[in-house]
Amino acid sequence: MNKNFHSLLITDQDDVAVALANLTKDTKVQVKKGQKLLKITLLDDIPIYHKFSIRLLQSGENLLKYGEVIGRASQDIPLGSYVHTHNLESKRG
Amino acid sequence: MKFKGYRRHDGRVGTRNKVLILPSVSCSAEASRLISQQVPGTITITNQYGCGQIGEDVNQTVRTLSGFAANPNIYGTIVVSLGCEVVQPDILTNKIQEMTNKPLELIVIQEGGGIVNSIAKGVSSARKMVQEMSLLEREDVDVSELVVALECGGSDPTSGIAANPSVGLASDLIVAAGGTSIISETTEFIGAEHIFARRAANTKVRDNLLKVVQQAEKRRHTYDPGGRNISPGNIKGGLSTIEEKSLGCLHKGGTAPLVEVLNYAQRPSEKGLVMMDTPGYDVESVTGMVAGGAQICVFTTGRGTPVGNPLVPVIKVTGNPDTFRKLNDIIDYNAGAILDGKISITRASEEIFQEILAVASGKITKAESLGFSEIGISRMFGSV
Repeated sequence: MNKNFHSLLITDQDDVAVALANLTKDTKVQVKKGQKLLKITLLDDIPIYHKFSIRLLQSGENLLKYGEVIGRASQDIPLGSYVHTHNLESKRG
Repeated sequence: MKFKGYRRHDGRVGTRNKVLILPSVSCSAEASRLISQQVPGTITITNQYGCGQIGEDVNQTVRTLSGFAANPNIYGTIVVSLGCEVVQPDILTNKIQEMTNKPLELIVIQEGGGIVNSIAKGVSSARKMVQEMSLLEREDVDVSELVVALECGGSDPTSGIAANPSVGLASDLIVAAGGTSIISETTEFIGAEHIFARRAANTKVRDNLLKVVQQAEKRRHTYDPGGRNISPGNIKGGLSTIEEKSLGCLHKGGTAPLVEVLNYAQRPSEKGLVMMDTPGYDVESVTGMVAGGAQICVFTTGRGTPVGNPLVPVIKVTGNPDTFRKLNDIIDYNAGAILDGKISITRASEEIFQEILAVASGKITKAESLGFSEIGISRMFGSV
């Protein structure tokens, strides 16, 4: 893993990146997506290894990590938000 | 590719050399403990069951207990029975003899002329058996004889990024060398079963896999509607849903085709990557795989756990560098170095593979050095 980045996008299809350090609200982070660099301002504190959104997700939309569906958004999730049990729900219970 | 193991009477190969004092029922467990405590070289196991059980639970308990006796790490077994239990002594000894011709003795407390006499008889038999066992030496054995139990417990997001992908590639190396890896924890296929279904060697394996996952999901929804499939520690660590946890967990199965789906505690009949239908509860899952004949376990953890096993060495791997630092005395391998940018997943997998061979050949793991020996036999119904 490249230590110059404080986050990891596991696959290019993913909607969330994983924080590789404790990141604080209003920080501008760079997320490497293939050859592109996304610049994202965090709307929340993100604890280490937890997730944040790299795009706007509508309520009810599937959410991808590992290139696979890990659940659906239970509310609208703006870009740069902390994603966890408060706004992401399992489709399998 | 070779490791140094103990060749048994039945042709199978152990990574450890132990005599098993096996209580057929909870009522004979204390007598078993007193026998085992007096004879170095023996082990005993926690058995809460063996009586008050019905139907498939009886079969599963018999399969698990006989599987322990048949495990290649066991030189021979002394069954300690009470006498009146549901798992009757002859049912258990017959089942053991169907599976293996290794040394076997039986003590029945109700026929033994008092508990002190039964314990003395057990100590005497165990001392003889341990002495015979001590004559065995390790010899070079092909890696294709290895059955590796893959387990994870106390997962966090680093498990799916670092620890499980590394163990998965190490499992691929075991399979490529002709050996066997068992992946288990059926509840942790929920949301990721389609990936394994694609890798099934044939439609029978695929259908069996999807059937056991569906059963586990149905059981969960029946008995705990609205409940979560993940633990409070998983959530605290950053995992949000069962799908997210499952997708991370199943990385430890590597990329090999899935060749068989096994019942709890069933011995694989195929070599390669196999799946065993077990609970996600790690202690019960490891117990099932050990009863199925695994001689070694690789156990990934994000949050950290000290769990061991009396029959097999358990190699603890974490993907979380912080857990490795904080819980250094219970973790054997730091795949967290991947997240620190120090090593690649491929390099970690090669080091884990070498560690498997070293431990299979006799290197003591941290759980072993603590003498940790958790056992949890899985069950389906309540007692009667």
